[in-house]
Amino acid sequence: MAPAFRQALMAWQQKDSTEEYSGFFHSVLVAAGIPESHVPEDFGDDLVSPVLRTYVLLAALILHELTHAFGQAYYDPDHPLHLEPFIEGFRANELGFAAERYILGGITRPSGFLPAAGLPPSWGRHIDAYATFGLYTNDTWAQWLAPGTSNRTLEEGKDADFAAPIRAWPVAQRQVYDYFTDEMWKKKVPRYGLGALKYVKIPEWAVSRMPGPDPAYPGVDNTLR
Amino acid sequence: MAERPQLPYGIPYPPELPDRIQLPGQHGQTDPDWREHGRYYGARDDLWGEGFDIRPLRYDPAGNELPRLPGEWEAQYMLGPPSRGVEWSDVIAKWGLQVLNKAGFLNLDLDLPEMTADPQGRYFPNRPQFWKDEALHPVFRRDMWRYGLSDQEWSAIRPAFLLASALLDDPTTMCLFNAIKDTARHFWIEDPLLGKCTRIHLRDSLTEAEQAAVFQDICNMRMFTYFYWEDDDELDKYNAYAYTVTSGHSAAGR
Repeated sequence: MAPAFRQALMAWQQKDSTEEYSGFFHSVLVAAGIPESHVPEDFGDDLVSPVLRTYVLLAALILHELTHAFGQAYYDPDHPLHLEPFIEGFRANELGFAAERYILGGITRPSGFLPAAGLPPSWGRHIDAYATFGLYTNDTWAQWLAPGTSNRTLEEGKDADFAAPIRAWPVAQRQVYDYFTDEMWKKKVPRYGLGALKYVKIPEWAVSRMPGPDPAYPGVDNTLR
Repeated sequence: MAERPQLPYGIPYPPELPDRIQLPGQHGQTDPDWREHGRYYGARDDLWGEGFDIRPLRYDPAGNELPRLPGEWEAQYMLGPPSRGVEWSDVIAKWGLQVLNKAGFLNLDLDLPEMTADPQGRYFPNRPQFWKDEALHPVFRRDMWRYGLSDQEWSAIRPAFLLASALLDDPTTMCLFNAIKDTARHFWIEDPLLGKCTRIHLRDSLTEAEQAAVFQDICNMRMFTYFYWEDDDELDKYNAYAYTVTSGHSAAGR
């Protein structure tokens, strides 16, 4: 597990006595180079919304890892590459992501930016662990990854995956909030099961990474719509 | 207005960006790439608060926004990537942080939700009596941390482990774990490069006895795995937040 989660969540606990947590939100604006004109109103003042996102992200992460571990314990990978089992409808050999999608209806992702060259990769994990810029979800992993022995994606379904945009949906913060309410666990989940928890993907807000002109390499010259 | 159906969670409609755009200094229209072209648009709340108005912004050749013309309204929100020089996630690269925030995807002015008790999944009442002492799933309990945790560390991360427990303690989730183990749910598929592979087909529901067996199988993971905080240098190698390793198997990163 990344110590970034420990750091973010312990900093949150101490947010009333130290400025480590709130200070992070200001330093991240500097690291991202966001000009004042593009900063959301009152950014960094609300210290509750981001910690709820971190909880959801961490919960998805440990379920993801538990699924890998469970597969390693109970599934015999009778295959030279020790492949995990594929799940129907998921082209990638990735039990963890497939489990996330099955349970929450999508993969849990932190929105953010890739740290500029020169910053250590651990910086990216800190930005993500603080869930600074919201969550998004999508329902494929490695969608445009070519089949192959090291890529571990299936040939079946490749053409459809390559021709389709990679779509992402922002997760409503109200949905994140609702995961931590009595209403959810005492009323909605008993009544609707996991359906009460699945990410609501609002079509109007979806963004699409459109494949580039060469069908064999959809990532090349892709565009964002 | 007000003819459109409401979106979930009271989310407003997004700014209506055009399908084709006219770039400054170019003739003819072109397909947009919002990573590049989002910054040419600004938005404000529409009069009814159900969505956003947008208008094109104008820039000088050096990339500085030109002052508003008479009659042009002030843009409250800038679309496109919030900064240049770093690569933003697609959702932000299109909508910008300000619109996402205003629409309810970033920060909400709400206090911490108050729960009267730890969340319990639907399977909780069916757990063996021995494991009903805590809402935490046996595989997500504090004693799963091989090198221990301080009280502060544990109370800091516990809400995430409770949420994961409730998600795991669900009859639908159990169908997944059942199918991973149960060879009757395994089917051979043939891939040109990977050769013979297994694909699992999940059941829609399990019997009570099957659920009890899955619960026990997951509990038994207490003997096979543990948590610990990994060094950043190791995580860098996998470019992952976490990974799971079992001796004799390849690593699966996240």
